[in-house]
Amino acid sequence: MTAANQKERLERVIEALARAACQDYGHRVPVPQDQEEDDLLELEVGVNFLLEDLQRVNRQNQESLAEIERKNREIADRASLALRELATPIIGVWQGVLALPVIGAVDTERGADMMEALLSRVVSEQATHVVIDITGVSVLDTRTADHFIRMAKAVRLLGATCFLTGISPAIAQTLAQLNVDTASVRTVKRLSDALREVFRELNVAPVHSAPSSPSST
Amino acid sequence: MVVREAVAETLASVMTPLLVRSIVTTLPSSAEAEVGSLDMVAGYDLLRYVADGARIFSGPPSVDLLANLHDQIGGRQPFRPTKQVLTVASDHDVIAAQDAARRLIRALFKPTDCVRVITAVSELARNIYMYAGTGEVRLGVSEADRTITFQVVAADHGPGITRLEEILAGTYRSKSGLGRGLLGAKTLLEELDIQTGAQGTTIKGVKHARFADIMRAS
Repeated sequence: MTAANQKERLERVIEALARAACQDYGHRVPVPQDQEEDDLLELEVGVNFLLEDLQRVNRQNQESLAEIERKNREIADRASLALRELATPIIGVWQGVLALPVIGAVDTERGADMMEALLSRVVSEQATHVVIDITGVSVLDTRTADHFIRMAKAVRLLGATCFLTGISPAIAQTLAQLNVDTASVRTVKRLSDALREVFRELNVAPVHSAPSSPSST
Repeated sequence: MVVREAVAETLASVMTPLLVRSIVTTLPSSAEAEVGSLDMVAGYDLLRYVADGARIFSGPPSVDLLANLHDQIGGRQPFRPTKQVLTVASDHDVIAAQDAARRLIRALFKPTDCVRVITAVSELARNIYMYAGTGEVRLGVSEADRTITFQVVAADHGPGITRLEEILAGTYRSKSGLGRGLLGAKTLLEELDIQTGAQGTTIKGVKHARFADIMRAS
């Protein structure tokens, strides 16, 4: 075996390792069929075995990653479906009084569902008062704010009074900066404040007056 | 040295060994990283975590202590910038952009500013979806000289914004609300650079926070 030949073979081993380092595990050290057995051959074959293993493990990794990703998506899809079911619980708090607590992000679809469900309940229960509570909404951009305002206007067109409650200080500041016009909606601090107002208008006297303003969170 | 050790060492100068231990043993897994290797999100999450822990045991930590802690776990370097690129092509992507922005900045800004920034990102993402169909929102946070910078770039190849001057002057109101969204984003952020033309629109917005301010508020 010549020194030049040896150097060449070593270079091929190094190339295979370099490629593996760049995540190309498909490459093998070329070993001629008629290669006589020597120490270098052991190295070459050994490296090839290692690369074989690496390639297999890498493939398995990729597969399980893809699987995890797929399952993640599945879970996310299921969660969003579940959320849609939970999306619009409309509570009849009193005869003719409906409350709609909104939690989480409101996209177009969910917003449309909400509007639809609320308006039909207003009609079917001949509601006189509706309280929309957005304590559970962390961010309100112009579009979403518009949606709530439109919803309030639609409720009013059906002859009911609509309150918007649960606007956090951060959202209030943001809405003010966004120049969103909330003049057409009756905004009240908390759900309980709105209910007190509703009962006053309905001439229903609560047996005990509602607890006076525990500090809001 | 890993972050956990740097935290322990820094706290040891102001707390008893027992308190230091109770804080350090419950640190999140990012504390196993090498000092100087954390990015903005992991770095500030960790700082908040330590600040909260310290507050429980020995009252609100001073800004100086937190600044020192920052330097120790950051290896006297700023934390690595964190970036995120989101494709916007649907209504859901607008909410995804909100979520991404929230994850990125929740430890970096005061709660009110968080809502402002997330709302601005939402406006920009929604404009892409509504007026250009598809586009990209790139979010990034970085820091230098004890000042944190949030940057949002909203880019699309849509038809461009006509009547931009009227929109920014607040004299133009579209039925669809474009004017208010853009103007809103401009108000909520500190700078808004708008490049628009027939080739599309690129909007760059920035918001800063001073380390001392956000840590005092924590």
